[in-house]
Amino acid sequence: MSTLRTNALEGVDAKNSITIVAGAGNITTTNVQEGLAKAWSNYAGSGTSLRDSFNHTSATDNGTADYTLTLTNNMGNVNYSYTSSSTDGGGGRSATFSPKDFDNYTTSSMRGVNNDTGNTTEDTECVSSTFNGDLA
Amino acid sequence: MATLKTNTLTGTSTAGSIAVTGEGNSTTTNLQQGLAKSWVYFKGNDTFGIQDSFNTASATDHSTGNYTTTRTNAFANDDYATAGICSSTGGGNIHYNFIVENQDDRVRTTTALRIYLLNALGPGTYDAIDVSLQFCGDLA
Repeated sequence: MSTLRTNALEGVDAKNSITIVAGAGNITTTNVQEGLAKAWSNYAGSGTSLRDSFNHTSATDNGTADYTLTLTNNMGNVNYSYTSSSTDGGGGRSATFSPKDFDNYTTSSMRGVNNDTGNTTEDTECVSSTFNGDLA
Repeated sequence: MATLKTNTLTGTSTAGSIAVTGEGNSTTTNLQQGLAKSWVYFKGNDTFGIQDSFNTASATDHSTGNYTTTRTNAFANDDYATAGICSSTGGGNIHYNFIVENQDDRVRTTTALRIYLLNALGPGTYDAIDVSLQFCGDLA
């Protein structure tokens, strides 16, 4: 067994690109940078206090179920992938946190609304978010 | 092109922290923080069972649309981020299901997460054929 000890990794040909063998057949490679989540968070829907997070400076409560997540290091463009989950909205209704519209995707923040399936905005106990894409 | 062969990566200053140059070449991200720490894809219907997974010890079918998955290596706390998707309920009328935690019956520990599948029909839980979950956070 070998262990590489380092504080930082850079690609040789391109600093921003490192491949790693990851296929089940030990042949196919994937890209380290592209595969990393660039930000994630877990926060309370009421007050939006960040319980734990990576690459987030803040979660802002704009009103009931209306939150803005701000990044520490910006994304390179607004075409990143965003996923989330939420506790239920009460009364057996599902709830989900989704962007208000595409205009609310910026490279440094994303504003969304937590709606339940009764089309009611609702602060829920726990909202999780993950960002994948290209860093600036 | 250079190829580095190693079995394990460890931070020098901090074992659990390695910086990686980002796509834009101007900022760095963190290898450990960016890695998904667990994922699982399981069948949620009568052929219930894990199809593929990483760092997942088990999946339990409690009842219709009510499941718990557990981690092999625990998280450091229960403040990890989750994301998931599931298939719709088939039949004559397709209803789209959503994965949630139940506010009144939460099971969120460093190793276990209980989820419910609800849909726009309102109260009630529903089985989905396909359920996928991903977990990001701090390992213990």
